[in-house]
Amino acid sequence: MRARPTLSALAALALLTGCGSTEEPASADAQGEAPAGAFPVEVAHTFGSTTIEEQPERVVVLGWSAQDTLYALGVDPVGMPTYTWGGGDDGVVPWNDEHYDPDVTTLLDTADGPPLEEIAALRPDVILAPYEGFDESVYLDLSAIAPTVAYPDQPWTTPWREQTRMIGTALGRAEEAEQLIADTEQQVAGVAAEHPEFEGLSFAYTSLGADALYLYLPTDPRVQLVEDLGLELAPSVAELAGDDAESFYAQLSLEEAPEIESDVLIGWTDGLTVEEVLTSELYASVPAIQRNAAVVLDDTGFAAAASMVSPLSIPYTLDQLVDRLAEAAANASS
Amino acid sequence: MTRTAAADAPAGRVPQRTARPARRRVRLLVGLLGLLVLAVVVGVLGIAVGARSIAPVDVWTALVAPTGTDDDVVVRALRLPRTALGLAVGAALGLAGALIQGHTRNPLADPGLLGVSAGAAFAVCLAVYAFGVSSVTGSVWFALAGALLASVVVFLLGTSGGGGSPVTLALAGAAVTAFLTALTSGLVLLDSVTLDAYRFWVVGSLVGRGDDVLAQVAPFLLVGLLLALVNAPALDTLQMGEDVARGLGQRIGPARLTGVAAITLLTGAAVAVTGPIAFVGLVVPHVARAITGPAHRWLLPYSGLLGAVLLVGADVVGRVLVRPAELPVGLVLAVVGAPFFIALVRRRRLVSL
Repeated sequence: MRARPTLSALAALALLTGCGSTEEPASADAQGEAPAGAFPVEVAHTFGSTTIEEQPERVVVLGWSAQDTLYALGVDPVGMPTYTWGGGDDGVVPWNDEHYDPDVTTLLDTADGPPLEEIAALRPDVILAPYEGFDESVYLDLSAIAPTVAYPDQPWTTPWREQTRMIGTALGRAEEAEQLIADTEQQVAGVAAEHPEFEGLSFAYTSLGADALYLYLPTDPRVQLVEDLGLELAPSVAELAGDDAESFYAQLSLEEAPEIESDVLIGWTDGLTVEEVLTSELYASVPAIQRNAAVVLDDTGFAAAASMVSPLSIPYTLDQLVDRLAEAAANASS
Repeated sequence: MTRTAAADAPAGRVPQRTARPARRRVRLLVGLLGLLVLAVVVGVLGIAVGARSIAPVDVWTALVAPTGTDDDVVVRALRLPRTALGLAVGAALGLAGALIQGHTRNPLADPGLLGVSAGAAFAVCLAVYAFGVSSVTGSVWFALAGALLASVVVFLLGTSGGGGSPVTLALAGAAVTAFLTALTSGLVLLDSVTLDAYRFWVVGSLVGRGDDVLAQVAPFLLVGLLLALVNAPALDTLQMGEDVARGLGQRIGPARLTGVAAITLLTGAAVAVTGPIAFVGLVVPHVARAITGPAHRWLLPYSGLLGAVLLVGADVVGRVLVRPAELPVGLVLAVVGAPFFIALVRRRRLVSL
């Protein structure tokens, strides 16, 4: 129900900015329509720039969490990826449950890349994939079906604000998207204000596996969200990861585990249970785990929310993460 | 695929064969001792070398008088178990490879030929899919059971109808492998959790197996080793063809059964823990045969030691190649091992079977 107050706030904003116009923009917003005259719009991305001539009605989204911005703007996609990882039995991520309507939205199995025929059959007006990683040939195939907005720069690293803006622009609702970002930021800032103890604490964001471990780097949206809560990425992460600035994660030998020096640690288990991680002699040598200042998690729904950062997943993530992080922070400083 | 023994004889082209028997025996014995020393050296490297730099003194302290420092934890919780596992599994696969190539008289046979790897793979997937067992400790039992079952089925299929010839065994193995591989693909496609577990297993790695896993499979490895050594003389007789062997008083059935049991136990226990690193079993016997010639009483111990050296050596290489990350040993074997094998094939005529 998070989207509801946001939407009414947006409607109020549209009323304010729409002053003097004879039309009634608020009602248009309620139906998920763009302000008149927004089109054509142009969205730049890694394969060039895509022009959308008129208000798209049928939207297919690809990649991570694009549907979140649509739902937050009151638009139901006609096609979206099924989430085999992180999704429930129906393949829908938990924070989409209240929005998802199986009669309107077809779930697409994208495990082997975008299913072109299935997408074509949905007769989309536009295909939005701001958080994806497909190559140019796939982009061209998709463009043959409908105007396609690809990811802005590197594959699978789009910051959530940029993703939200791109989708807002493509739907002719850039201003509402900005408002959505501002509202979400305010929510994050609110949590940060409630937890002054987060300020300046160093953290590492990790995936803890049985035969390797991974560090998430500053380009990763997960890391950025935690930074927005006031914490700072530990210097040891950069030291261990080396100079691979392109990637959003670095793989490490398990032998490096004792070197992950940070006040607190957030870790997803990978092929292990939380129990196995916490009782492992090796992972016990990670300083933050040793101090009991680690949030170690194996709930894939939550892992997905933390990974697929968006205006809808952020509230979901905060709900689950903040209390545990506060607990870890208390242990870090004691 | 199989040829008669007479056509196979390399007719004295191999230098060792021309040496006088006594001197040859001494040389092979010295070689064996040399390999043993090499295995120890590689074992020491396995404990001393890794992504984390630890001074030799500290490695020694970690081994003899650990105090719980980070270095101690890395040496004792990571390097020691993976090195021990590498030595054991490498030796098992080397031995099993020599056995399967001897029994089928097929130079391309690897220990997975009898369906053992496919059986283990399917069982690992089934354990995750149907029983939710994803930890290595748990899936080892499934993998082992799967390997044994597949092998029994192959043996029954291959020997029914009075057969039991190398060809029928190999064919039955191929058929069962194809069937199990299809089932495995099905399970993996059905369920992403299973796919994750399968991917983790199938690459082949010595890390993260925990120290208790080796203890779990050690009895199987030991019995397999014993059976393999017992099987050596019979295998030498069988090389002359089943008819000649029968004429020399060799009982074919029991000899084959012993061999298959040894292959199954060695390979099953090995792949259950590390995933299918069958490459070791394919290459090592060829290298060993180039040194020893075809006599199995030498070939088997050489293959075992070489397997251990190769696997642990590859694991050490994988640790230093992409620091601070690591390459799984299965990958290193494929990347480093394959060109090495090709070079070997091109450099000298391999002793044929």
